[in-house]
Amino acid sequence: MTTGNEILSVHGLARHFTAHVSVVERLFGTKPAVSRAVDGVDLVLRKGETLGLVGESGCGKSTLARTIVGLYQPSAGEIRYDGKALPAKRTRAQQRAIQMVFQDPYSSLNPRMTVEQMLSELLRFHNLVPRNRVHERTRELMHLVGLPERALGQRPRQFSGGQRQRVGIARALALEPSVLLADEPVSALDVSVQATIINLLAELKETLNLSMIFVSHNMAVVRQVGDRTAVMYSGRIVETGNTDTLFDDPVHPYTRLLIGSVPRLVTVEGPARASEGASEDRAAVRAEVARAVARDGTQACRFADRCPSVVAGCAVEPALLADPGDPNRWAACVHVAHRSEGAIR
Amino acid sequence: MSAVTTADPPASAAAGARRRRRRGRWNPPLISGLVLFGLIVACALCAPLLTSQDPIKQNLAQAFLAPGAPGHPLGTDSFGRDVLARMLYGARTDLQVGVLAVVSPFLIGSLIGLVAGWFGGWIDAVIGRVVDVVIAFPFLVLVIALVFAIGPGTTSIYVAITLVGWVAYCRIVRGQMLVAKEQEYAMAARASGLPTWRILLRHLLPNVVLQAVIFSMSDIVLTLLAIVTLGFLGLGVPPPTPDWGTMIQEGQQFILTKWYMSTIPGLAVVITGLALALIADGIVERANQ
Amino acid sequence: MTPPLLEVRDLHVDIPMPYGRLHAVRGVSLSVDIAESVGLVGESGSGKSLTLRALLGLLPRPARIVSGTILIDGEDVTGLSAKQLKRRLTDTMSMIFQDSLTALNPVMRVGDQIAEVPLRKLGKSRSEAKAIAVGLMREVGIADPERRYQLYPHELSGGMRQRICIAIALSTKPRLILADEPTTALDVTIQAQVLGVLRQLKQEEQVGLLLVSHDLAVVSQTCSRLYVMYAGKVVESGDLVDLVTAPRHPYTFSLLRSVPDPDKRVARLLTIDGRPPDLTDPVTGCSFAPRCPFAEDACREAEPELAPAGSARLSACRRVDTAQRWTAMVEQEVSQEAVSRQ
Repeated sequence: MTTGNEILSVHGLARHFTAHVSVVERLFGTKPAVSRAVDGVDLVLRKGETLGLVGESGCGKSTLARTIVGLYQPSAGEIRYDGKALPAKRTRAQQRAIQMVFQDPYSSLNPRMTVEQMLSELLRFHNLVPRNRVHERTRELMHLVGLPERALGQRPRQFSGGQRQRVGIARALALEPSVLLADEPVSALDVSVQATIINLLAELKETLNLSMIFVSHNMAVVRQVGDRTAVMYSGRIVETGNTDTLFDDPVHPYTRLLIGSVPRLVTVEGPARASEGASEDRAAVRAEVARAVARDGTQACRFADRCPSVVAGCAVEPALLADPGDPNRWAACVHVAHRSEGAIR
Repeated sequence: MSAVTTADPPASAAAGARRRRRRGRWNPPLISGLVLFGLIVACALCAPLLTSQDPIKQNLAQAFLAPGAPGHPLGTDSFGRDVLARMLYGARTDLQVGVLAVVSPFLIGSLIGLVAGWFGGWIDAVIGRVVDVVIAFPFLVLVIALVFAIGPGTTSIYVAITLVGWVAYCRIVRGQMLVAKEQEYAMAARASGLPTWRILLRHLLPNVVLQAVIFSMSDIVLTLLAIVTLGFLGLGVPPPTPDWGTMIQEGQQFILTKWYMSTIPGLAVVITGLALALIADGIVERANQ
Repeated sequence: MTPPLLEVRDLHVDIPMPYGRLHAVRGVSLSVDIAESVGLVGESGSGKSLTLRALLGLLPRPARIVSGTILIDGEDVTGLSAKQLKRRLTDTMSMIFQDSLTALNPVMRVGDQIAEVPLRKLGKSRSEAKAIAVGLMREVGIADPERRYQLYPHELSGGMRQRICIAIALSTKPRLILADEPTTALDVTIQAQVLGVLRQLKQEEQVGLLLVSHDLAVVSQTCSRLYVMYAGKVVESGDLVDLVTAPRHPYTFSLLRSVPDPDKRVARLLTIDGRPPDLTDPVTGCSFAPRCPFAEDACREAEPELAPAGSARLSACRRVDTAQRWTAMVEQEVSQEAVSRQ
């Protein structure tokens, strides 16, 4: 999954969380529960592209984003930036290069600091501009994100949700990053404000030559912003590809389910879409998969228990494989694997 | 960058919002609390101007005068000392002890709470155990031990109250910290590569310390009451230094016949408490504006 | 002609604030026919949820109804005593909320929560009530209802819990269900399932639906008629297909074009600059005028009233006659911008 112009890549990245177990419980042999939020992710971000990362709540997309930014230490795997693996303790320059725009415009800004204080602190700490140019630079940043200069003297509570999100973007851009990670940047905003932030991010990406990972649960938003899209399920990437081809011709059953579930404006009334009833027919296959897993101790495909096209082969977790017809398209599904094998033969 | 859409103008109802903010900053509870507390402080500072009597000089011939007696507007105590003078000079002692005995627990407790909440893990566990031990340890036993070790006087009161009092601040700040460190602004500060001490002091402390400040207001009153308790055991402010706690304790022996002897200093404690409670309310309102 | 099942006339809701009164709902009128599905769309602060809650007397404190008339089957029920009114309303309607976890009693088995009304209000025996509850669970698409009857809310997924809420709402045998953003908290695949349940009910059970949502697409999945609210007022209403294909109010128009389409990427999303007015201050002129790309001076002087704009259509725009021109204008602008950016 390597191409020449990648700026950021992630290899076998995992981030597990361990539930707190007290000393006493440990003495009695209680094993801490481990949740595998991110469990072996391979991902590439190319220079100047926007990669949409979609998935439902709890699939690990936010954890993945936070691990890439360095807020969490990876449990396994590595993150490479500009060809070099990032160490556990990043240098200032490395930390600066990957910045994040957060989801909640209400909790993501320090309520006790003015915009100017937030921005100038970063500019000074990272020595980004000469001391006497700090104020000038903060004004430029306001201009960049479409806020009036007087916003510099204001505190977060004086802004609307959309304006706060602009401040959040300015804060990330203050560090002159080359990779911007946007973690659900519009999900907390009203529909009409969402569009302004989506447009702003798209424009900034062009003018500042940024590469961007746009994390969202909203398929329509990802379709709008992403050059490529990666679909995440249960801690793993299940399909990636060029956004348009992925949306028009999804190959992984989960991607198909996701895209099919997005409510469309004015549909012709028809039967309800894939619901539990449809998957009941597969109960026999599912039971067979469960038996095979118990017998061989394999990890089954994580989507097998919801998948409408589950087969016995799903007892072994499929690897993320390239589609022979489209080098940009990768999918982790037994059906796709068969398809590519067939093509190779 | 001309293509960038301009944002909505901040505060379409700007005038109304500004009006609300101004009223939040100097709200009625805060103003009245500050005025009341200011008056008490002024009385303490200007004690020599407000009375010509000596708070310590005894005159057994003039003992037990009721309030309103000539030359003694609030009467005299069992040793014939002027009650007004003792009230005024007592305010000096009590405010000093009350405030000073809160400052160091506040600083120490908040700092430890900040560290415990932020780092969690074994650091938090160790601090948590220490807190439990301090809470379980009887306060008075500690004070008696200290008085023996250091000798009686205000110093041992400060030390004893600090040793016990930091626990409350530590718990408050730690609890706030557990919430605040999961807020996205704390994550954002970490993601921008700022050093930990800076995130703690510049970004998190101002957000978590509010509850501790509010508690410190009531803690001052609690400290005054603690001094009263210590006075009962003879461990309080050593005589003949005037102090409200000792006055309440002395008057308590005559409560059935001379009710005003305990009531007047008691009222002073209540008014001080009221002023501090108003200030605390005002701070809350100001922070939530 | 039969009167509508539910009609609201000129509803006003106020929220007293420390520094003034927020006029949150400013004269909303709407109606729902028997077995009709109606959507109420608007952004946060438009007053859509308050309108819905006012109908069942569930306004959050300190909001209160200032004036307004509610008619059920054409009969004015506002004059009834508080107790009778409550009874009349709850007999006719029931409600589904956004957050299914807090809407359910955490220490009661979900099945018992469904059986409660049949047991206590409809006078059924314990076994009958249980049978009704199991039937309702099956109806809302819960597989294996006998086993799930015994579970507690936290043991169910979000989608299952919302189905339980729907089953509870159905247990009173309502003629109308009020739903306040019922799928907003759910994942998209689960949302599709719950919308499917709501659609099915409409077809099979002849239950009316008044659905409040910020998402036009969600509403269009289940409703046949729409009201669009902005700043406490209905600004446009009409038949769903008609309304979304040919909006007659610039707000509806902008809203439709600012939402990304999952099936097609556009060069640039249309944006609505500015933000809704602060309703603690009196509104002069059209409330949307400050953000409207087509506003004229006259729009800022007097607030326009809802007026007929085509068959079964109402719009509160003075310039409704020029609606086709807006479409052309914006389309041209967007395409020009797209060209200039390439």
